[in-house]
Amino acid sequence: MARTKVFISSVNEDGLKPLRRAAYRELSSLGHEPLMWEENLGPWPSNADPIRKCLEAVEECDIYLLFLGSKAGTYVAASGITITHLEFIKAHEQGKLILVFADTEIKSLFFGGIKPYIDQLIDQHIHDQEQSPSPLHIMDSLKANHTIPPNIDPYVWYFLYDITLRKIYIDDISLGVPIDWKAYFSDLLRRGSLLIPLEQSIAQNSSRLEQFDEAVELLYHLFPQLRIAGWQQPEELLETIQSRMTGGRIEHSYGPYVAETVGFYGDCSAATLYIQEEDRLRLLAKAGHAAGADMYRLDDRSSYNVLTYLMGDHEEQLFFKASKNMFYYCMRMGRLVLTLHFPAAPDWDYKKFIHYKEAANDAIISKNPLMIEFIKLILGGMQL
Amino acid sequence: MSTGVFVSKNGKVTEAVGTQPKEALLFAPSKKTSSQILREQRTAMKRNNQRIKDRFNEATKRV
Repeated sequence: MARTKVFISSVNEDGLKPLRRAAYRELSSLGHEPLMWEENLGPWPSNADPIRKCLEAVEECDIYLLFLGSKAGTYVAASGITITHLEFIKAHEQGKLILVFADTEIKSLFFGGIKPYIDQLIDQHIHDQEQSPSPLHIMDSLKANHTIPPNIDPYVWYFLYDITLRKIYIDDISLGVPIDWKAYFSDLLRRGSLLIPLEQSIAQNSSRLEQFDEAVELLYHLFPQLRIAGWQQPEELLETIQSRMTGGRIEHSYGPYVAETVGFYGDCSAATLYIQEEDRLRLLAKAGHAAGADMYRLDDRSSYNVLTYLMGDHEEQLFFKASKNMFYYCMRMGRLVLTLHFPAAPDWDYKKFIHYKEAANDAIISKNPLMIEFIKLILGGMQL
Repeated sequence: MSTGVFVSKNGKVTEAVGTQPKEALLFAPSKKTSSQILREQRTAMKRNNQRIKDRFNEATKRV
């Protein structure tokens, strides 16, 4: 029967050695298969890359167990992080169960003052430079701060910060106090026991998801073969679209783990549909609080409808007007231009739009791109 | 400095530089279209689905 492989990771630090050894012994006695550098990992032949070998062992394990004390360990210049940190990232990337134990005092210092300090440092850097600071910049700032205990390697704070960004819980260890591994693994078994019986439900949902996706693929191929003869009630069509387009949060992302809420936009308040006829766009239908003109000449570049039409077929564009406090999401399909109006929160002005243009674009366009795609397919299939 | 944002004022489209009146219509070309975003989401969904299946297979096989 397969046994649980537990990779025991930590820096080579005197204070942590007894804990590591005790963990290795107890996990072995419980019938698990711990993997640890001093016991059963390495040494490897001289031509083998030890870092690669360690990362392979992480890949093989079922559980990644990390002990953190006051030392950072060996820094790998080529990666810009330590070997232990590389192992942690590998485990995270592989979707392993990660268990982190940090010294109680260090953890308390981290959450009590250092994490808020790093948060503030990052916010300030983002405000000034429009990007996250490098790990080196964070560590230099930590070193320069004399209120932070100098006996703890600044890299440890950076590592703990990365662990919290990845939303991984950090357990306490008191050096010299043994961890009750029996109780700990019994709790893991309880958690697994709650999830394992859900296998069938998850498998069913997974199959349904695949079915939906296959149906979407079929629609992609069928719609271009269709010519939709005309409108029943174009206003009702617009009202249906409008009612399903909800507002939301606008977030500015700094890499994959950090996102800051920079604003909000409201539910779709109006929709218009124009059709190109000779040298103009004529209003076909409107819904909600739309106050668009009945007609726009195609050389009237003050209209977002015209600007979108001139961008070309299948193009889309988000516009913003401070005087109306409104975002306009426009798309052109053939001779049609659909515009959806989303009210901006009162704090949006031209400066904010220029600063967060990508975040605003992304928030509105990616809220539910499948609905947008279906609308495009339907409008694209209209026989006009 | 280029802002990457354009403005339509009095029927003329230019790059938005400096102070803009409230009536200005601003827009910035998006890096991705809704179709590209959807393609990425579908790819991620398939990858996640496969990972869940693989993990259940691995977890339930008898060795």
